[in-house]
Amino acid sequence: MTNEYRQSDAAAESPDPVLEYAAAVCDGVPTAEQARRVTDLLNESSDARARFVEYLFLHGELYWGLAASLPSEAVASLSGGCVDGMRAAASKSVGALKTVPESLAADAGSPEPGVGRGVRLRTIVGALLTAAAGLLVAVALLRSWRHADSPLPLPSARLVETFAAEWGDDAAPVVGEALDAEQWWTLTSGLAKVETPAGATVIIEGPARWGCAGPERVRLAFGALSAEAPESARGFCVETADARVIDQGTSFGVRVEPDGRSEVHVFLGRVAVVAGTHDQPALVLSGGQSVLWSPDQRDRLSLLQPAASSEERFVRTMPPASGGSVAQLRKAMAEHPRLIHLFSFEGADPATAFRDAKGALNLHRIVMSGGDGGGSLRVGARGFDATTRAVRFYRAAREGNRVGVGLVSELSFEPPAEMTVEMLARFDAQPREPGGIFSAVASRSSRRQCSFFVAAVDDGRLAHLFDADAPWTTSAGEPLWRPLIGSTGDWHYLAVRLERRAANTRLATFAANLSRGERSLNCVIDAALAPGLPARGPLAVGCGFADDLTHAYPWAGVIDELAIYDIALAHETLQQHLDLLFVGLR
Amino acid sequence: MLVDDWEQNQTQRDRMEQFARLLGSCQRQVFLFALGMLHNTADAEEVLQETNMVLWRKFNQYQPDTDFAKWARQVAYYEVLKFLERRRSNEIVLTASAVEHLAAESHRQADLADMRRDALQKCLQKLRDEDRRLLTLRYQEGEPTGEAAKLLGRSVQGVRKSLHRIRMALLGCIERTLAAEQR
Repeated sequence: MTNEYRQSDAAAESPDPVLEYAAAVCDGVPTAEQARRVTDLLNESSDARARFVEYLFLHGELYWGLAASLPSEAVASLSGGCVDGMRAAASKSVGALKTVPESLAADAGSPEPGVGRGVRLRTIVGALLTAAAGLLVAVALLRSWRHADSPLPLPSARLVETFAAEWGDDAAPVVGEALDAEQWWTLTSGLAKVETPAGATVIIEGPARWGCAGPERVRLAFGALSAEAPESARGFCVETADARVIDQGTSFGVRVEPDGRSEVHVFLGRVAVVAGTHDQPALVLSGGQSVLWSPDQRDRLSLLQPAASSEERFVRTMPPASGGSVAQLRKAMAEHPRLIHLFSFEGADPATAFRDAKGALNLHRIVMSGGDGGGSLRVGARGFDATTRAVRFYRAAREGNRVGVGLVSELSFEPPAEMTVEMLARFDAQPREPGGIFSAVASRSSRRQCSFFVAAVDDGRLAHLFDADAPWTTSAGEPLWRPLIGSTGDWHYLAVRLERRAANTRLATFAANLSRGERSLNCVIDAALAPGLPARGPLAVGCGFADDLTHAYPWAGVIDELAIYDIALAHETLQQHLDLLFVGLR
Repeated sequence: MLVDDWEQNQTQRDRMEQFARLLGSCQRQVFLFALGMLHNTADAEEVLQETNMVLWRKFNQYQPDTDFAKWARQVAYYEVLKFLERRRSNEIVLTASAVEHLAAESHRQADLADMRRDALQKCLQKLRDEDRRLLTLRYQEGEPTGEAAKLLGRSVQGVRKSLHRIRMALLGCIERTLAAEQR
């Protein structure tokens, strides 16, 4: 606080009926009694009139100058809560345009709900200028108009850091610059960190569509974010289509799925969840609590029972900028000249997530016979790091070989003479089933001609099979995937090199346990000769095919970044790809 | 004949452009002037729009070398009176003489509005973060005082007091800034 400021504080304490009335007028609560008392003063004293009008003009300047930057598209596309407040503020400045003569208004278009004052006024000018048919002049005039009535400067939220951020078709925000309140951003993957003037920090995790509705308001159409709001940022607000999540001095996470399902998790402190256009919080969540709702429950949030919060579902710290990432591996995969198929599983909707980014083998979800209702495949599952999304497959606890949900291509995969299958995978099977086959990538053309490019069998060994009548080719030594009790498995980088040798396939398989930080490739199968050749047929990811070609052997765990090349990649190339996960591009 | 039409249309276009330019330059002043008499931002905006329409209809009466903003405020004055006449039955309003006095004062201060606004811009930068935040909620995000209080977890009365204190601080700062600039 400055000295000048303190002196003025003292002035505010002195009772002055004129200024008290002026303040009541500005707050919309003047009384008839106040008006009666002040009338005499205003009639008699020029000094009182000057004080009164100065006060009102200040109120008017703040209203005029600060309200001019209200959002338009953003307001129209969301509903409820904080946004309604803005809409009300915006719509209060809309109204008399209907009185514009029709000859002028015809070309101007109608004002949209939520369009702010500046827009509306520009519309009037636009009508005049359209009538004048002077586009160039219009541009010049609008510039001078904006200059004349430019909003007063106020601090804005800023983008302060990104990590492996990929942005959608709309322009990308610039690190260090203020975020325009009228802009929506599409963060396709990676992370973006935003700081508000009051000190709240927000980490947005792609894929997400988000924006800033004001200096202390972040809006989230879909995606996930975590927020840390110190006491100075109390009241910081996250807006979704259904609700406002208002901080009361805390840290929390908000996730909105593309289908509208929403989650709020509180890690520390408290947040209020205010539904739709309501004024009062539907829920107040404390640290350790969460709530999840679907769009059809948005009017009944107050009836929901809080559950335990899960910090794992949100990124709460930015990774070191110099480190590697899955995003960098993905980029290297995509740029490799011999890549023929790439499934990155990014994207919020299945159509995008299951797309073959290089070839035409787009995948679609299949539910195995008897698998209905038992579980589901999850798009957008947490990957190895925050720069990626993966797919979690479903495998039933009983009769797992036959019951589950996977992905299969409609078109046939044509295996080249030599190839490499590269992927990230997490294997979560527990307990291990006797005779269980867990297929990550497969194809099959007949009872005998099958391809289990990547599978797990028996006690968790990595396995391959290209002739159904032959034994599995498995890794020697310790199983790659140990039995699990009560936890998810480790993430592995896997690469399988296949080369046709007459009627056999020459195999070399490499792996690294990413969760344990292994930075060197381990050759788990070295130059083994497996009977049979890769089969032509639909490509199955997260499952395989049974003898009768029905879908079977679902994977139990998560798969990400599956790339297929038409070359047997050198060990050095594979090691470079692994390096990208830890040390990044050099 | 065609040339005559073109010239006539061109003259009309020039006239519209001139009007648009002048109108754009005085909107804030007219709004503040109306607010000084009406004491309600929504009402002031409504009068502003009515005034704009009248200004357009009477634009052929405007003398190009005269002060457009002053003329606009005179038009606005009559629009305010008409507006008050319509509202008088069910609104809290000051007496006619008080309104008349306020109109004169508003005219006077509207002439100073640009200067005071420049000072206000400087003063806003001196505000404490929490005060700036309250102003943002109230003015930029358009929250009524009650709603701002809810968002901040404070009492409505407390927020009103804070807003009054901030406005008083800004008024004091504006005076000091203008005085310093005149020295």
